[in-house]
Amino acid sequence: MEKYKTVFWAGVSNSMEFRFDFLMNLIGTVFPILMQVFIWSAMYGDSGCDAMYGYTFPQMILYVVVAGAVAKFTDTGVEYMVNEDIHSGGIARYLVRPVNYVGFRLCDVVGNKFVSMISMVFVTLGALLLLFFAVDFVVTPAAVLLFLLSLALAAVLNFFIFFCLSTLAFWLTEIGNFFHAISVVIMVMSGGIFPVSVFGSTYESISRYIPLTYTINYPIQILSGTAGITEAVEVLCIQLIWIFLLAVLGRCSWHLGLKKYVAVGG
Amino acid sequence: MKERMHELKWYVRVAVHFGKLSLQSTMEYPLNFVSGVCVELAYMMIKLVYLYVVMSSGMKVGSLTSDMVIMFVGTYIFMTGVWMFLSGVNSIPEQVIKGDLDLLMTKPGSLQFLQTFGKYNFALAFPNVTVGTMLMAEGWKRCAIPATIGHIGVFVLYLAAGIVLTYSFGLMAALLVFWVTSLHAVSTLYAALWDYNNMPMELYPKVIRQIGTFLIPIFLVTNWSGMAILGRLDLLQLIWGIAVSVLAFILSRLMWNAGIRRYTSANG
Amino acid sequence: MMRIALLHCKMGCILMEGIVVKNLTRDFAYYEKEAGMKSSVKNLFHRTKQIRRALKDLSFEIQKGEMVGFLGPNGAGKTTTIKILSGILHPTSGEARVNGYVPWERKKEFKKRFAYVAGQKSQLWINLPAVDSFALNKSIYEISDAQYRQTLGELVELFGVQEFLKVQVRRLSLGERMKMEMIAALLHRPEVIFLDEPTIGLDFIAQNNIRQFLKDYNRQNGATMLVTSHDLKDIEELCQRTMVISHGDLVYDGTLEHIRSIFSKKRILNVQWNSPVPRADLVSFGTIKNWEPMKAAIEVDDAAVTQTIHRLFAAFSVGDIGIDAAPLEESIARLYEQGAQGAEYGKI
Repeated sequence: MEKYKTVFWAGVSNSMEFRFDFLMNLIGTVFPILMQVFIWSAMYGDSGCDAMYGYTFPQMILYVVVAGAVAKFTDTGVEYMVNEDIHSGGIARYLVRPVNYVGFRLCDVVGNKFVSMISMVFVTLGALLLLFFAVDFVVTPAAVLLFLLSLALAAVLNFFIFFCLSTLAFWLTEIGNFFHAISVVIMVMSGGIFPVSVFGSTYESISRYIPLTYTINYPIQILSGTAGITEAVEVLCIQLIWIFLLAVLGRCSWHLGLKKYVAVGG
Repeated sequence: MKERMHELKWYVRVAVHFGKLSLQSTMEYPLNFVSGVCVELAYMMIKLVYLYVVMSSGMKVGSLTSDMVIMFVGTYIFMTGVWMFLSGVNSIPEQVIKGDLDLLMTKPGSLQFLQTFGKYNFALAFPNVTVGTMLMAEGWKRCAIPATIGHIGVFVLYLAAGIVLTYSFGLMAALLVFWVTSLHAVSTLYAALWDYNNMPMELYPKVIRQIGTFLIPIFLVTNWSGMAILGRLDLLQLIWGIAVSVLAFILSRLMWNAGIRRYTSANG
Repeated sequence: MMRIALLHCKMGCILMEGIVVKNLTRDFAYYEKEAGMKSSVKNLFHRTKQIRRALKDLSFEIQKGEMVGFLGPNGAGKTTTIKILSGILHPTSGEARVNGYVPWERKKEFKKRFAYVAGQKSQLWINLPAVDSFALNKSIYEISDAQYRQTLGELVELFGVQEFLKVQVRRLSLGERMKMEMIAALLHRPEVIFLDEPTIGLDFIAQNNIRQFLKDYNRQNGATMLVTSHDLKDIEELCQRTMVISHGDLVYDGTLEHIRSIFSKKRILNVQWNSPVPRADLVSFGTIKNWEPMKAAIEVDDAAVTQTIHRLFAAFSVGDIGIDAAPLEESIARLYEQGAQGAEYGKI
């Protein structure tokens, strides 16, 4: 256990080093969110409706404010690390050491995310406070707690989604750009920019059966109250199921890839 | 005069030569081209999602109908293509940090010209310019704007002013490498500002519109051509649109000279 | 004192050939950061600016057609000097003229008359055959078709790289690539050539090739050349004149041979024995530089050479004996050290 702990703390201090960059990134996150706020206030003002796409105005604002931050938070970048390890031959290091590669990467990511988890809590609280004063919008403490719980699971789930994808690097070279493109598509499909209900009821119903939406869309629904307590618990369970399934899948394809890697000789 | 003509011919010939070599380089690795196009298509998806929301709800953006918004989003996507095309500008920070301007500095002719028009990225530009142009044409058609020479002339004029602005702003953002250490932050911020053009400026509150027109005139990049032919600009605004691109170009040139003096060739 | 040729050109202006450097100084600013989190935070708000003086009041002159070597340890200021003379860096203070031009004004006429070649920098388009990059330089330098064909033909033949012209640059070996870099740099027939570590990282055959080429080019075209290297062999073979720079100071200007004579108050005796001689028995003869049972290298004072040989013959059964000068590297290393102390010893 000790070695995983070391990796975890190394991740923590590493992300502190770059906190100036992090601060700037935060501004880079706030700007697009602000733009969304303008769009939605224009839309709700123009249509005069109480609710659009199943969200009231404050709920929608909460959604877009938190979505940008959640998307940044759950984005682990593990695919690039794995790709690098495979193509630069770095995985040989892990093969000779008595660590489980998946476990190692997970701890590294969780360690890195630990610091941003704290700032996530502040971002969320700030957004809620702002909404409270601006539009008199109240969120129950239970929803906040369940949200933070599902947020942590979302990061792990996202890790496994991208870990599964990253094992493609065993079979394909020059995959960096592909990861880049796919991560943008996944972000949109997960609800990182707009709630999935905006894309029509067909996609919304499909989205219940794919893991993507459980990384952004549903966690935020828990917070904004468009999903009740029972639904929230359901989301948490589905997240766990997906994490389990993808962990198994990731492990299988990792070992399959490794076999090929060893056979070819790197 | 003859001297000037000679010089102009030199610029054109060398720029064309650079373009040819860039294209040849790209064609050596078609797969890289394809993957570059894929990345841009993915980013374009985000831009189109905004348009989709406006179209599907049929909302009005300020005084603009959703058909008009198509034209503005088209201009924005087109300009993004222009920005991505100028990889000579976008690679300045990396080259400065690595000290890779050295050899170019010893070549005859303006260094700014040789660097900023020395390399082009066709893969990133291609999807944006194509889709952007198509959207502009579609928006134009839907708005039933008569395609007279006058209208097209005005549109193209402000499009050109927008291209000059794209170049100048991109250059200034890249040149900050000579003064700022956290470059990643600068590019993130610039990209965030740029994305405000995803929607027509009429969407934003008055304060933001004023800031984006006068203080950091980012809105002029993509809004003026559409607004001009839709008759939404008064004379002063029309003049301002041209004046800003001239000023920005001059400013970027001054900043270039100041920056190059600080160049340390990765030695400092 | 003025060793530069003065020519009167048609317009009546004074046109100087060669290189003049006067009191050239260049500082680099950098920021210091101590290890640890605390100083990282401190640096966010206030960074202490430090100044490193890369060149201190450097002065020298090089005449047209001269081939001069620039020798010095890493960070001595060789590259900085060359970059200033090429117009890449501005000096902090001081003056320089290359063929009458101030380099950092980067005038077009100046840039058309010199070339800068650096062993670790490339101007070639890596994904295309070198000949494409050559054609680009033809456009940039406005070389006429006839001159381009002739010069390219000559250079390609000198280097013997005909068969590689149409091969993608990234597929060329390091040596071939460097030859292509040279061709690209020389297409416009520069009168002054600055070479910064031209043979770095190359194998021995390619190094020889390039040295031979530079010698030929200098002889045929009368080009002025300034070569930096930390490889002594480059300088030894190419340049009649060597400048040694250390910690931004010119510590020596003259021939390589002369460096040896300044410091070589020592000689090395290489002795072979007929029967093994233990190391301990030799200590009283001089400093033992090298020892094997059957042979030894002993350093002795110049004046004591004859006497020591006599003593050796008397004491042991000597098979063979040779007298060598102390290695040049050692003399130069001592020059470097003196630069570090700021002494101006050996300056001529």
